[in-house]
Amino acid sequence: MTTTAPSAPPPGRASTARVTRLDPAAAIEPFTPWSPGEVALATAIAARRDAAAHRVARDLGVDLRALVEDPRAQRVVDGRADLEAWDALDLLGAVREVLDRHDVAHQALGADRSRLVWTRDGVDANAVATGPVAVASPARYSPARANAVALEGELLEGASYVVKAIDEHVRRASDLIEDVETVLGARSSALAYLGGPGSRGWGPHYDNHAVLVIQVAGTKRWEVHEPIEPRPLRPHSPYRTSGRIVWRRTLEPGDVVFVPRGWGHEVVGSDSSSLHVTIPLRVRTGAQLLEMVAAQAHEVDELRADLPVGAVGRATALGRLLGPGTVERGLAAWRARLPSRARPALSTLDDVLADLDAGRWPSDVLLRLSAPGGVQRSGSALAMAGRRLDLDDPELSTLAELVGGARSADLAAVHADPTLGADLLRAGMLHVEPATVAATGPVAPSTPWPRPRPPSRPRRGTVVQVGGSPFPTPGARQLDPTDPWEAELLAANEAGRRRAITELADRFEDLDLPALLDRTREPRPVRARLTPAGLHELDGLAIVDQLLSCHDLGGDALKLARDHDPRNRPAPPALFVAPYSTYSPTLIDVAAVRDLLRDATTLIALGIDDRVPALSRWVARLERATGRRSSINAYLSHGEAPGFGAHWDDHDVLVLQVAGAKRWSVREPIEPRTMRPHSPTAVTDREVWAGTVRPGDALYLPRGWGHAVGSDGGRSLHFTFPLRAMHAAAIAEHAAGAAVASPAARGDVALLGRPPLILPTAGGTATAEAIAFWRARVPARAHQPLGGLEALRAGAPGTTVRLAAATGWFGRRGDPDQAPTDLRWLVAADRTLAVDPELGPLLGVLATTEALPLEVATATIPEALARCALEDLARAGLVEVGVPQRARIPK
Amino acid sequence: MTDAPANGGTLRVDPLPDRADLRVPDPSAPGLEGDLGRANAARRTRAIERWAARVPGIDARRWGDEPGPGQPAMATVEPFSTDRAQGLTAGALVGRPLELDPEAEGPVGSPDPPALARLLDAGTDVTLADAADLLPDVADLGDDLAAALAAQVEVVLRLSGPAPVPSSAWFDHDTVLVGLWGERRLSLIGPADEAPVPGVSSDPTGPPAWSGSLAAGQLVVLPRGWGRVLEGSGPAGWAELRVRRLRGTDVAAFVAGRAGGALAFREDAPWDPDAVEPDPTSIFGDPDGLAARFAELDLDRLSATATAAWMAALRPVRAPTLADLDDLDGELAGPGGFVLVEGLPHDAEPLPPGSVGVAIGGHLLRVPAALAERLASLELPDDALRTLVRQGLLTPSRR
Repeated sequence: MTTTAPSAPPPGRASTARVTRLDPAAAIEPFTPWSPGEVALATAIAARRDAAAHRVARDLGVDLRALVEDPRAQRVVDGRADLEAWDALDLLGAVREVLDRHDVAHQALGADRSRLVWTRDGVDANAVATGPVAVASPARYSPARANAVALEGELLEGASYVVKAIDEHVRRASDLIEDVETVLGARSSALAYLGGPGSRGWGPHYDNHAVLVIQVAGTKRWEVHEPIEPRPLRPHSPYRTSGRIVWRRTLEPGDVVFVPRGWGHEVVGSDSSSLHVTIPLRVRTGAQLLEMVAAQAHEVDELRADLPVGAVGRATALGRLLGPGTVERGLAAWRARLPSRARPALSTLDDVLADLDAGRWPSDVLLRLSAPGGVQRSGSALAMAGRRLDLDDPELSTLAELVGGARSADLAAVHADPTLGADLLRAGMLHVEPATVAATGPVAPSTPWPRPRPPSRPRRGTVVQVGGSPFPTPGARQLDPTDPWEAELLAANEAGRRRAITELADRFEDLDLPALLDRTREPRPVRARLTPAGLHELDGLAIVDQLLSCHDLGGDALKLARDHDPRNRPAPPALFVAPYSTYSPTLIDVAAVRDLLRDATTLIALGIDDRVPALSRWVARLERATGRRSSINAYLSHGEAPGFGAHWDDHDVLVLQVAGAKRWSVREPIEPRTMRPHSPTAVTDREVWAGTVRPGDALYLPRGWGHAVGSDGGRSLHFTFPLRAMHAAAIAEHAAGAAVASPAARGDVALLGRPPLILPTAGGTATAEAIAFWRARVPARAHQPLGGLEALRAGAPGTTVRLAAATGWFGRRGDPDQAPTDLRWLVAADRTLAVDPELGPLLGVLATTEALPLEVATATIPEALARCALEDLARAGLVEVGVPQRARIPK
Repeated sequence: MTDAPANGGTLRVDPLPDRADLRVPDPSAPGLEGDLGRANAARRTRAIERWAARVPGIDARRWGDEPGPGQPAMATVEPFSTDRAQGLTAGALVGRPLELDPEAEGPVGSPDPPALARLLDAGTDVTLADAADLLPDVADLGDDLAAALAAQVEVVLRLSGPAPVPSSAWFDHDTVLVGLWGERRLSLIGPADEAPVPGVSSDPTGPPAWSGSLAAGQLVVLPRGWGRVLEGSGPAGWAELRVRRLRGTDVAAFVAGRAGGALAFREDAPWDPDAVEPDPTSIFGDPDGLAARFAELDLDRLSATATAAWMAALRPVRAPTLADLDDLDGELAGPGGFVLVEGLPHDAEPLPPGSVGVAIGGHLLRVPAALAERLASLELPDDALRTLVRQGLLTPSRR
C-alpha cells in the first residue's frame, strides 16, 4: 500500500487507553454536545443517521425512520424496493452463499442456536435441519453446510426453512442491517425464510418486535391480523392471533412490508417456492426499560439487604431510580453498547495499521466509523459501540470526520492524528475500503428461482440411496472387471483419475505425480513449483481474509502453534467476538488475530477447503488422482513464529507456499516408513534439504520425514494438503476386523491351544478390499446452489453437473435384504446406492469428466431417466449442480 | 406431569409455570389457607429445632427473622464423623465436574483420583459443585437451614492439598463453612459495605476481626460481605453452604418483570424521548411517566407475589435417593413450604373446577377439593403421597 507522507506530522498521542472496552457497569448518559468537537461529532452522527434512513427508504421503499420515530403509529406499511439497489443487494445470492459455505446446520446446537431450522404444516415449531439437507461434516473442524438442492426438494414437499443471521456472513447484507440499526438505535439482523408452494410455514403468530419483510423470490400470500389487545407483548399476552384480517396481499419480489409489533400474521406460499427476508426491529419497550432500571436496584440501600423470613420486600423503593431522564439514560445505555459491524480483512488491517502506527495515513483508503447506536456519554468519556473513548476536542473532530466516512488523504491533509485511527481500527470500530469504489459490473443473467415443475418422475429405476455413514457392512469392494457393466464404470473411474492427474500436472511446472505415488520405491521428499496460473487460482491471502472476516470458526476450526510445542493449541476465547444473539456465529476478532500473529504464534485454519468451493475442487482433484482423502489447512504467521518445531506427520503432505516466505529444513525419518506411536518430535538431524520457499513453491513430504519451519520475516501463508493413504499395517488391521466373518476367527481360543490363523493369506484380495473400503469413504464434495434443483428439472441453459464423489464408483459386497433384484449396487463417498443398470452410461460420463453441461449428461440415456437420476444424486450430495449465479426481480 | 388417582379426584404435579399469581398463606386465616400457613410455620420450627440440635449456639430462627447480614458465629457440629465424610467423598469423586482455578493447568471434567491428587499436590484448590449427595450429613444441615431462613442453599465441597496457596474470598451471600478433615487457619475480615454486592462494593480490607481454626466438625457462619482467608498446610476438605436469602433487589426485579403485563409499559420507546409531544396517557409523553406509571402499579400486591414466588421456587438441597422413593412416610421437602396459587398464566392449563392450586418446591400441585384440607397434615391417600414422593416433595430422611 502506498502512503501519503504527512506534511507536518501530527503530535499524535501514543496508543494508550484512548479507546477501551466499555465497562458493563458504567453509567451512561445521553450525549449533549458542548465543545466544538462534540458539536461536530453530534452533527456527523445525525447526518449519518439521515443518510442511513435515506438509503433504507430509497432501497426498500419504506420510511423506516418515520415508523420508529412515531412508535405509537400502529399500522401496516408497504413499499417497493428500488430495482437497481435490489440487484446490488442480491439477497438471494447472499442466502445461497450462506447455505453453501457457512456453518449453519450444526445439529448439536439445538434449535435456539442453530442457524438453519425448519417446520411444516403451519406448526409453530423449529426443528434443526438434518441430513440430507445438512451435509455430513467430513471432520470435526468442518462447517456444517447445507445441501441447497436437497433443501429445495424439501421445500417442494411442503417444508419451510429459515436461515438466520445471513447478515453476519455477507457484507452487503450486513451494510443494509447496519443502516437499519443506525436508524433504529437497536440491534437487528436478517433472517431468510424459504417456503415451498402452498407452504404454511410457522402458522399464524405474532412477534415481540416489529418486522420489515422483503420478498426476494417467488410469491407469498400475507395476511396481517389486528392485534389481540393493544400492544401485546409476549409472554404477558396470549400467544395467539385475533384472526381479524386487516391487511392481505400477495407479495412479489421487491415488495416490502412493515408489520408492527404484536400484529398477527400468517404467510402461505403461492404456487412457487419463495424466499423472503425478515428484518426484526427491536425497539425497546417501557417494560424493558423498567427491567433495566431494576437491574440497578442494588444502588438503593434499602433494596440490597437480605429480608427477614416472611417479610415482604418494598418494591416501591425502586421508584427512587425512576424519574425525569430515566428513559433517556436507559436508551443511552442500550445504544452505547450496540456493537460495531466493522470487519476489516486481516491483510487490509495489517497494511493500514502499518501506516497508522508509523504516524501517517495510508493514501488510498476510505475509513468509516461503525457505531450504529451513535454516541453517548460515560462520565468524562464518550461511549460508542461498546467502547469508551477518552478523546480531546481535536480528536473528536477527527472522529466526526470518520463517522461519515473519510478518505485517508483528506485526514492527512488536515493533520488528523493517525494513532487515533490505529486505536479505532484495533478496537474494531472502522470499516476500511478502497477510496475508489469500483463501478458495479453488469448483472449476470437472471435465474428465476425456484419455479416448480410437477414432480412427475418415475420413482422406480432411478437411484435409491440406501445408507450413509456409518458405513454399512459388509462394505465396498473394487468394481469387478469381469462384469461388463462394472467394467465400464471401472474404465470411467480410471479415465477420471487420469484426467485429474493431468489437471494437477497442468498446475505445476514440474510435478511428476504418478512417480510420487509409485510406492514400489521408497518415497522421498520432492520439491516442485506451481505455475503462475495455479498459484493465482489458490488466491490464498484473499481467501484467508474472507474466512477470518465472516466465517464461523468456532469449535475446532481454528488452532494455534507456538513455542515449538508439537500440539495444536485451541484458539483462546479472546480471539472471538462475543456473540450477540443465541444464534450468532462465532466470528473472529481480526485485530486480536493480528496481535496474536505478532506474538510469535502461527494461526492454523483447519479444513478450509470445505468452506471455499474453488479450494474444494483443488482437493477433489488431488483425492481423485491419489485415491486418498485430503483437505487444506492454512498456516498463517507473521515474523518469527517457531510453530510446532521439528516434527514429522503420520501422513504424506503436500505443502504449497501461497504468500510470503518460510524457511524449511527437511530431515530423514528416524526409521523407514515411520508410524506412530513414535513421538511426533522424534526427528533425526540428517538434513536432506534446507531452504526458503516462496509463493508458488511446493514440497511433497512423505510420511515420517522430519521437518522444521521457520520464518523468513513478514507475513507468510502456506497451505498443507494432508494425504492419508492406506498402508500395509492398516490393511492388516482391516483384514483382522473383517475376519469376524469367519467362524474360526470367532471361536474362543483355548488357554493352551493354538490360535486360528485369522489374517487371510489371500493377500491381493484382502488388500484390494481394504483399499476399496478406504477410498470409498472419502466424503463427497458438493457445493450446491439454491435453485439447482429447479435448474435440473427445467434443463436451464448453463446448468452443469459434476460427480462430487471424489474417488468415483465402487462395488458393494453382498446385498442388503431390501435389495431389489433388478438394481445394481454401488458405493460412492460413503453412501450405498441401488441404481437402475440403464444409468451406467450416465454414471460413466460423470466419473470420466469434470463438470459437464446438463444437456450432455442427459443425452447419455433417456432424458427423463437421466434427470431423475441426477436429481436423486444431487439431493444425496453425490452430484454437484452448477447454475448461472445471481437473480434479479422479474421486471 | 404425574397423575395419581386418589379418593375424590386426582392430585397432579407439574412444574410451576412462570408468571403464576402466588400468595404466602396466612396462618391466622380460616380454612385451608390457615391450615397451610400453620403447617409452614410448624415445618420451619421443626427445621430450626433439628439445626439447633446439631449446631448448638447458633440460633437459626433469629438468623432468619432479622434482616441480613448478621455477625460471624462459630460452633461445633454434633454428631460429626470425619471418616464418614472422607469415605463418602473418596468413593464418589470420579467423573464429577470440577471447578478449577482458571489459571490452573489440568484435567477438567472427569478427573481420575491420581489426576486429582496431582492437582492438589501442585497447590491447586479444587471445588466440587452440587456436592449435596457426596455429603449427606452436611446437606441435611443445608435443608434445615433452607427451611429456617427461606433461602436457596447450595452445598459445595472444597479440597485442598498438602501445600496450598492461601485462599481469600468474600461472597455476596451468607456462607457456612464446615470442616470435614484436616485443618486450616481461618481469618475473618469485616465487610466493606452493609449489604455488599460484587462490582459495586469494595473488597473487605483491614485487620482480621477474628482468627481461629477450621477443623473437622467445626462450623463457621460467614455473613454476607465478610472476607475470609484460609491458610495452613496438610490435606484438608471442607464444605461450603452457600446461603442466598431473599433481598429487596429480587423483589424489585420481579416487580419490574411483571410490569410488562400492564398496558402502559408495553409501549415502544421513542427514538428521542425529549422530542415526544406531551401526552399524559403515554409513559413516554411525560418526563415522569415511567415513575408515575410505576407508582400506579399495585406494588404491595406485586411485592407480596414476589415473596411468594421466591418461597414457591425453593427446592430441597438434597435430592432423594432411589431407595427414598419407596417410602411414603416423609416430611414436606419444599423449603419454602406451601404457597397458594391464585391464578395461572394464560398459556398454562387451568385448574380443574373445584380444585385448588398449591405451589411448593418449584412445582404446581392441582389438588382436588376433597384432598385439599388433608394436604397441610399430609394425611393423604397413598397414591397422592406417592405422587409427591416421586417429585421429591417428601423426604423420608426427615421422619
